[in-house]
Amino acid sequence: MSKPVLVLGGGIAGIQAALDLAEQGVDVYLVDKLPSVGGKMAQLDKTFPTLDCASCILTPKMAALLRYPNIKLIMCSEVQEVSGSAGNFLVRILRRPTYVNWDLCNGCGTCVEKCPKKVPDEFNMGLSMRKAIHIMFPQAVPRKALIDEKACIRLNPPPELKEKAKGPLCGICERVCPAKAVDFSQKPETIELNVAAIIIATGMELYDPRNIPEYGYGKYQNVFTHLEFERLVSATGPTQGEIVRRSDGRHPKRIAWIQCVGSRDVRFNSYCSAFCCMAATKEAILAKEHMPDVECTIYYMDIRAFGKGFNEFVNRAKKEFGIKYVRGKVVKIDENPSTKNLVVTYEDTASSYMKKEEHDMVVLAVAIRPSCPPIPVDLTADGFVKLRDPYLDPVSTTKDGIFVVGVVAGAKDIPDSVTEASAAAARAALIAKGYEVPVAVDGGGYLA
Amino acid sequence: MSGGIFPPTVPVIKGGKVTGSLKKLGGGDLFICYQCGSCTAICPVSEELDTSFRKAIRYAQLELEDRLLSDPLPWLCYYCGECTKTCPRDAKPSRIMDSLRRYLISKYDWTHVAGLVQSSKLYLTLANIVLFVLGLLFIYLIHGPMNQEKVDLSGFLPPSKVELMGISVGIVSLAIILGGLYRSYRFIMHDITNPARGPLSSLPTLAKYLLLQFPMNRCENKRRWIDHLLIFYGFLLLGMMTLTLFIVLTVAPNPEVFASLRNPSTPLGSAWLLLGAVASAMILYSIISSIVNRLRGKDIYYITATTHTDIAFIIVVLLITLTGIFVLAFRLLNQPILTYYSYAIHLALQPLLFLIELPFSKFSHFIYRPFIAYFALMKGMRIPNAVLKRGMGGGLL
Repeated sequence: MSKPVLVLGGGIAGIQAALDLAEQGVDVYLVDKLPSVGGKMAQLDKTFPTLDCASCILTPKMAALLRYPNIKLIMCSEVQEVSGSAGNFLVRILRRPTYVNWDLCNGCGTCVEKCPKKVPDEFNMGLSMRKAIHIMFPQAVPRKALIDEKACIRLNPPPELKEKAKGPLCGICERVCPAKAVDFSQKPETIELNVAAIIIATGMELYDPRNIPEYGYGKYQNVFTHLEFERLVSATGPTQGEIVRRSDGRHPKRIAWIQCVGSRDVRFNSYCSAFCCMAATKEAILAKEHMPDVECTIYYMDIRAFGKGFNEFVNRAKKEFGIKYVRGKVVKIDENPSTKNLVVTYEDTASSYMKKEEHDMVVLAVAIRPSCPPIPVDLTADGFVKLRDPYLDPVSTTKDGIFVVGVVAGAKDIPDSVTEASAAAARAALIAKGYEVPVAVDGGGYLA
Repeated sequence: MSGGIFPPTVPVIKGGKVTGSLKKLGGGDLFICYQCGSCTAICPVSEELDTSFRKAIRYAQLELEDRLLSDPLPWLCYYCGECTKTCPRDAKPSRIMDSLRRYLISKYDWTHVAGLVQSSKLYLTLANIVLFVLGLLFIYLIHGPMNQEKVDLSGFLPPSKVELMGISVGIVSLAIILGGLYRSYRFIMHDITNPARGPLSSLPTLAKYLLLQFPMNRCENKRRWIDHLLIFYGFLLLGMMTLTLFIVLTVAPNPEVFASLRNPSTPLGSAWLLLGAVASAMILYSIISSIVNRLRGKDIYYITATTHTDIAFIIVVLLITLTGIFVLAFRLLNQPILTYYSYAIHLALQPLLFLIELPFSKFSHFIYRPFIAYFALMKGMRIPNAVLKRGMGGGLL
């Protein structure tokens, strides 16, 4: 008999860990704070260094989660407290109400169509609008609707409407739902789980580039972040893959990528965010594929193309796609008020001259911040989960039975996160199965 | 990922020839720099010119002594501290620039004294004290009768002997600083056979750097520029006045004019007094402003880089100015003894300014800076505030 394992975070690392555990016959609870699994990878258009479609890799894995009878997805939920020790953890989880009975909802989307309230869509980084009742994205797993209680007219009525109204407001979704799934009476619920091991795969959030006022993010319309650009360039994104400027909706002719925005900088985060060099290279290639006459410039300090095929990828970007790499840290961005173009100031360290260059669009390689759940494990000074031994035990935290994988342990790319997930799944399964190690042939030793 | 087994960023200070000297001069954060160029890009002096401050740091990191010596970059920096605020590594580039400037001063100096006083608090303090005591001793030996009734400075210290002291100090000082200037010229032009520009056509830039203290006016904090102008013109005024006295006394002796200059009740004497007061006030204001700035730490540069040479300069100039004011005041109040003592101290302090500060320490930058900019322009480098002829790109060194 085995005890269940809790996987925290439904990104690519969490998904991989859950699938590996399930495959080994271990029960898995997969908890995510969002209504769908997929994590950050679901927002990406392509992956480096092969330019494979991110969704095409991710979606089958997401769908596979539902095929295992021993995986239970607990969405819209966050860990509150963890106690106990390896083999016997008690976990308290708070589940937010979705106001839709997911047993009844079949994801038809009728409610979404009829809902009158629009708010910025977080999945598209605010570049498009969604309804108050919504399905997170078309490929969401589970594909269920939920109500954003802050936006909903019924749940959070605007004061001026509330005064006039006699009864409850709106409620259109409740009326139109063919499955009668909408349930405004849902309350937050606490779930208690007893698990053998925990795998932390909560990933990252982006560092707020508004903390670096020199770059003018949030002030200058045509300054974007990597993830915003990924949504723009994605066929499933708000513009169906058209790269357009926020200011006038026109296609940019010159795009700049600025690396190490808040990374490798003692004023903000001193660590390297690891994947931005390759992400910028990939995005520049995608921009070239979408608009062959666009000029792409990447301002970098060091190109960290350390993985297999990475350096070749960068060389290909330079030779095949004509992407310009300029070595120098951009110190500030100024906006041309009439054209909304952006002037970047930097020292071209190859020629040793301070220069100013105008671009139509700037994409910031914003640093990542680990998003650690409230679990009693040690963290490093940077806020990442501390590893017990970075060389010989790189998926263990300082507490027995709690493992850590993916970006929350340290900045890394998708393949590395997946590798760690499989490793942690193997280690967690051992604990879950109570160390039922089969007796070795002839008692072990060596063949004489 | 830091923490645990990976130590956070630790500068590796090697004991190389250049880096070793720079470490002694306070440029210890040299190896933290990862050459991103933020300092060049944020610098208010910098344009699309030969003003890559990053490059100077690179030369130092690589121990390229020849390149450093032939590069006027540290002289184009005014230590406003913008780069230190912007540096993503907290390497304090303005501080490195300051250590580079002091490194260059010690290299230009042919007597090799500059290196000692620049890098050692002890040597600088000792040199100042010894010289001051020697000055007092000299004055004690040559002084005449101290008239108790009324102030008689010419009787106390015969002008001819003071002049002799002044001339000898001046000649030594000039010999050292001119030697230093010649050496800096050789360093900068060592690989140049045909100067890109003649000495005459480069003169306007020399004037701008010397008389207007350009391009410091571009820095964010204009107050420091004003302070520099005030102290420069204060000293210039005092220098002219000393020269006038020298002419009236020795070159074309005119005892009448000398007497009326010394007598505040004559129109010429009161004008002379006013001139001296204005010059002293200019210097005093500038020095006090610099002290206040440093204490308040308003400028990030001041927080990070007040060195013993700065402090010594401030103390010496402050003492000289104050004793000068005391001499004037006591003379007007008719306090003979106090006047004589103030005058003796005032004179004994002069060698500190002209035999330590001017040739070896902080004060030298007012001569080196404009002239090195001038040499750089002749070399063909593109520097700020210089009218450049077409097709004379400086390019890489």
